[in-house]
Amino acid sequence: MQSRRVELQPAYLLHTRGYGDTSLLIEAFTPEYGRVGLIAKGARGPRSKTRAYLQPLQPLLLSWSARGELGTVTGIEAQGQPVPLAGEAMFCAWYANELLMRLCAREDPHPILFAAYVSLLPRLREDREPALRAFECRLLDELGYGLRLPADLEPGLRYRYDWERGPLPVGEDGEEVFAGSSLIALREDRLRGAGQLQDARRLLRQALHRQLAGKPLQTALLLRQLRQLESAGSSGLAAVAPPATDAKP
Amino acid sequence: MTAYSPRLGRLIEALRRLPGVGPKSAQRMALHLLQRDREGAEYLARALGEALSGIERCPRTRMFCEPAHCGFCSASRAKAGQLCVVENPADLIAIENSTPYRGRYFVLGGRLSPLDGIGPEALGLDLLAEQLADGTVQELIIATNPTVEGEATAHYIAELARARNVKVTRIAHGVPMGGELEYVDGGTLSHAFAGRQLL
Repeated sequence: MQSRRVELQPAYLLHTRGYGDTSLLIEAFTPEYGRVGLIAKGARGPRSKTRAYLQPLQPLLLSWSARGELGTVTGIEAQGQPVPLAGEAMFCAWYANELLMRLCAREDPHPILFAAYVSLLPRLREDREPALRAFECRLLDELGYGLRLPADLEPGLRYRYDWERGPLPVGEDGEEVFAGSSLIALREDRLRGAGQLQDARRLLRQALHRQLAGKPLQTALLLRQLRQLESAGSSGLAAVAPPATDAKP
Repeated sequence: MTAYSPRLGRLIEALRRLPGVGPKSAQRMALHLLQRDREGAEYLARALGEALSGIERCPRTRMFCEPAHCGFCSASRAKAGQLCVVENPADLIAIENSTPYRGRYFVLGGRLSPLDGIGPEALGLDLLAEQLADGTVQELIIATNPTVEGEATAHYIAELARARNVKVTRIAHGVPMGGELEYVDGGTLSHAFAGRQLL
């Protein structure tokens, strides 16, 4: 197999795991090579200088050489400060990472999606729900399963979403019905208010579910558990233990 | 064919299970034990057997302990009303060896990592929640590692404690002792700066 060297590719880490005693297996997301799996030798050792940088949310410039599926990191440079996310925003970043891990094949270039990821991260601090929905839309577009949200949607009408034909106007209200105004706001990335956000979340959850082959997202589960805790904390009630889950990797 | 007899081969294979031990070191260890220190080998075998049969995880702290004697659950430790959450047994030992802290502990055995399928249940957080609910803990000290996952785990545990009206503190992070600012990485330095204290 042909070997390849990549120099100073912008990257964010999606996931890391220990590899051997002192190395790290990293999944990085890059514009020109998409998701790549790389081994960072010695990165976990006690004298590692790169350990502080090898974290999600840290903008990096990665160099690597690849022969076959797993490459070896040859250089790591931090490119500025990590995106300062804390608390729930961090869990949302994890969610975006899981989506990329699950839905992007390795070595599929995604420059537009990378740009969307870069602009998502700082937005997670302020308006995380609309930011996540916009990112999900872009992700589906890039995978070739984008939602059809045509220009002739009417804000006053209600629609049912058909996976083959897109939104179809319907007369009556119902569970599977979305407001035209919500679909337009989603198309233009200006979701406001609980109703629009809920419509967008409902539609995108179904759309993503179709791509995820029925396997639930672990981060979404964790986020729900966290929100239960938060609401229990703010209402001053003793929370029940987080619900047991049967979801396994 | 291999130069090892079957039993020697098995011993070398067994030693290679230790972290950082490759084939060459495993061979050296095995030959050393057989050739120069047979008494030591017997001692090692006995200690290993006893450790496996006699050491369990304490149901309260989730630290390794011997059923008749868990040093980390004693009444004098409980009196302080403090509970310190750490990721791994090695972290507990580090805190115990280098700080004056003598309260109770809770060992998670990892950190939240949903992409690896490690959720709150795998870390025993339901057990922790029970202990927080029984009213004996006045302060929960979160000493998870300052990594992205460690911080997320800390946030989750803090919410768990807040829901039960327990005070939560987080260990400080900053510049290492004897370090020089010039060589400290940017993330650590900005944390240290944000967490500065009044003199």
